[in-house]
Amino acid sequence: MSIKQSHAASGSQARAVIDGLEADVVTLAVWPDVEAVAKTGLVRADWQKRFENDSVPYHSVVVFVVRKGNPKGIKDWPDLAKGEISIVTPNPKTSGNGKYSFLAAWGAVLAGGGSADDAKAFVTELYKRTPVLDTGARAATATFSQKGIGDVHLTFENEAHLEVVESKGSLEIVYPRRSIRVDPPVAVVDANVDRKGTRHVAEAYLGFLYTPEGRAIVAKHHYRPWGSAPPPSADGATWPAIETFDITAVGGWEAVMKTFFGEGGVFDSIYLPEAGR
Amino acid sequence: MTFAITALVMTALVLLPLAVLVLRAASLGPQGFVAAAWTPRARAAYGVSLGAAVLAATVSAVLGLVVAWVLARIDFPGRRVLDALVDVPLALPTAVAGLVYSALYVEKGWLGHWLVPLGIQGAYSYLGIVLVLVFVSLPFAIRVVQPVIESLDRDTEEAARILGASRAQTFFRVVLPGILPAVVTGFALALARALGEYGSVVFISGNMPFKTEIAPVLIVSRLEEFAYAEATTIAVVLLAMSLTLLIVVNALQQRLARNAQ
Amino acid sequence: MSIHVRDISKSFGAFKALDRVSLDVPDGTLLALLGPSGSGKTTLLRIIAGLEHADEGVIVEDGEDITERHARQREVGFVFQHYALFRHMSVFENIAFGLRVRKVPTAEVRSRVEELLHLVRLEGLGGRKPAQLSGGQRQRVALARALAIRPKILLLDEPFGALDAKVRVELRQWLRRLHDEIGMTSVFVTHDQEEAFELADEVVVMNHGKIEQQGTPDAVFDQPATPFVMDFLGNVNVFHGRVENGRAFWHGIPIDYPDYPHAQARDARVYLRPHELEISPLSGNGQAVTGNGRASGSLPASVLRVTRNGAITRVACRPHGSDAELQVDVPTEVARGLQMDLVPGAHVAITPRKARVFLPGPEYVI
Repeated sequence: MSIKQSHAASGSQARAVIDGLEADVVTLAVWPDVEAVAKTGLVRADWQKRFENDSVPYHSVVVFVVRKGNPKGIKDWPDLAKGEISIVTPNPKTSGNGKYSFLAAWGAVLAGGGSADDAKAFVTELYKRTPVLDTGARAATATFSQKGIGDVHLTFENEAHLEVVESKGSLEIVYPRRSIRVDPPVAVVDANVDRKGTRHVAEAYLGFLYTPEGRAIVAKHHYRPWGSAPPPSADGATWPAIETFDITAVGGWEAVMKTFFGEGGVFDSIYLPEAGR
Repeated sequence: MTFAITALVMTALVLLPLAVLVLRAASLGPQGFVAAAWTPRARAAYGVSLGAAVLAATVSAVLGLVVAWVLARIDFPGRRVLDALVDVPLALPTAVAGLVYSALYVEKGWLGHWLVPLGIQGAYSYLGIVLVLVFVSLPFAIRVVQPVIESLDRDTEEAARILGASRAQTFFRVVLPGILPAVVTGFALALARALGEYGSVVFISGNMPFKTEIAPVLIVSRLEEFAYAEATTIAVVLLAMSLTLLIVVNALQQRLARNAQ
Repeated sequence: MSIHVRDISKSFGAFKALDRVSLDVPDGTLLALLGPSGSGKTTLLRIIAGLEHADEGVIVEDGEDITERHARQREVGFVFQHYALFRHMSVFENIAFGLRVRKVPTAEVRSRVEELLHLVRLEGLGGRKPAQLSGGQRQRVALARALAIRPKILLLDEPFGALDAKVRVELRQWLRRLHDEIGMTSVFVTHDQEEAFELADEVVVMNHGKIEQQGTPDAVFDQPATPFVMDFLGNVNVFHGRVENGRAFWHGIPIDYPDYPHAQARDARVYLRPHELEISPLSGNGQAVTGNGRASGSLPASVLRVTRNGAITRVACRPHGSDAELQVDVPTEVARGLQMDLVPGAHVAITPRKARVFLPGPEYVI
């Protein structure tokens, strides 16, 4: 058996499968991307029930990456909207990473007892301090770590580890008190596997992610494997405790895609000329 | 026969994809089209896209003329290397250009280190967009003009000199009218290239809505929502604007070419 | 305005275009620089114009050293082989160009250009673009443009080279008349000896970056100084011969050659121009009926071919006992008056009226 892999931005991968790329399985960044494939009938509507934990074999969380020694003293979300802080995060409309950062900020306000208006005021402050809206996660990483733009970079924990290792000690991770849980879902592309007769292999491939060996590989790459007692990550680090909330805390995917990131939604309103005045 | 092949190739490579584009956009109906393609933000993005492209094509046309002149007329050590370097921007993945340019011009970059204190923001700014667009479009401006300069009749320049014209008078009155049609063609190609550029721009523009967000970024945003038709409306508007601009430039080019005969 | 060229040398890389060339152009002269391509004639013209810079030597105009003076300041008129008109400008603006860059007032420009259009017989064509003119008209525009600035000298680089034969001859005669009217010192380059001889007061023959001979057309034609000049001035019969005791021999016919009085025989070359040979019926004993000139005696030969070329009849013959071919040009009237039929196979006597002898290479001349 041979496995062919294609890696690219989640949204464009989803569109590729929709447009006819004969993938057997998809592992995408956000639920809406799999759901978009499911809407075409390529993936069965009940895909979320096909694997454990709603077909999410591992998690991550949105964390802060800061300059060495944390010179701006950034500890938690409220610190991001204070004084002369400059933030790097990709455009939530074009990036899954960016969507989660937005939702993490929003949810952190709600979880702290704030109202939706408070949350909106907070994310507006946040994006006013964001000088660059890269279209993807890796571009944002380059902007922060290589070009030296910004005081804090919002990103997934696994990405943050890679970024810190790459920086050779010039960056460090800060865990906010609470953050959103990142749930990248997986699914078998039913229409493709049934036609090619590869369902068995495809399901085994995804099921492997839930086995002890699979969990060890996942952990090595700084994703938090699902289930109790996760194995330590590559450098032996245990997983710092962080209070997490999931997508339902901010309204669920369908609602956030429309009200936050849809055309004319909350995110767009931040940039309306009126909002800037 | 050759006409049939030309027609076939143009249809398959250009007209068919364009037709699909227009059909997809048309599926929204006139009102839906306007609603998707003519938002304040989209209008601002068209402005950034067209404005930066025109500016960059202008710079490329002027710079291209200078570089082409030097390559065609002056023999210096390393001329052939420079001549080969001209085409590099065509081969380089443009995203790389965007990354390198933004790394150079940010405050801690090699150039930004000097320029940012002077108030010149070459990265994450409108200037940055123009810079990368010049980079990707300059080869066209050079390569169109260079052979025309090489084929110029040197006698006419000598005639002008003997008749008492200064170097500047010779260039502006005798040489330039002859190569201006090529310069305008170079401008048109540079413009077309700059209008369609995406890869390098997103890495240097900062993509700030209403300021440095180009229309293709909006297209990608809409695609992320799986809003195909809406995305294509923006593409169609951008295309229509580009086409109009190119038709105007081509008409100008033909007038100049007739005049130069 | 006289021009004096002194010891001018010019190399392009390893190629020596001009090798210590000196030349005098008297005031008011129309002088032709004649030579094959690569002989340096165009380079010399361009150096006089200031378009090229000489490696060595000086150029003096009316006693003034202008070697370092830029083309812009030399006040010369220059006419290019391919006209070099400004394609995007009208005929009027082409002619006006030199005046415009000199900031001559508009009214004056207008009257001067009209005057020149009249001079070159292009009245009413001022509004045309060069592309709408014939070759001859274009070259006249180029000439008017050169004359507009009232140059002190006029330089022309193969001015008729790009024109067809009929227009060339017309324009040539017209240029000669124009020169006689305005009397400007003029130098033109040509590789066509007919053109040089018809047009010029003075002909300079060049070869390999050197001047072979300078003189009036008659002098150059009648007394070619070198075998090259002899060769270049037109078709000529060349034979190997011997020279001794002040005489050369060609097929046994003696030709005076006082430059070599020595007794030791040497190889020499004998040049015979086709029109300087006479043809006559051969008498029974192989002796020619007529014969005179510097050379004495005649040569029996057989006719190979006869071609009528208008007023001239060309006869190709083969001297008896030889496999060389000899060209004889006879005025057609004379050919008709001969007491014989000039047909292939006929036997004739060839009598040189004039012959020139050159020793192979000047280094052998004692």
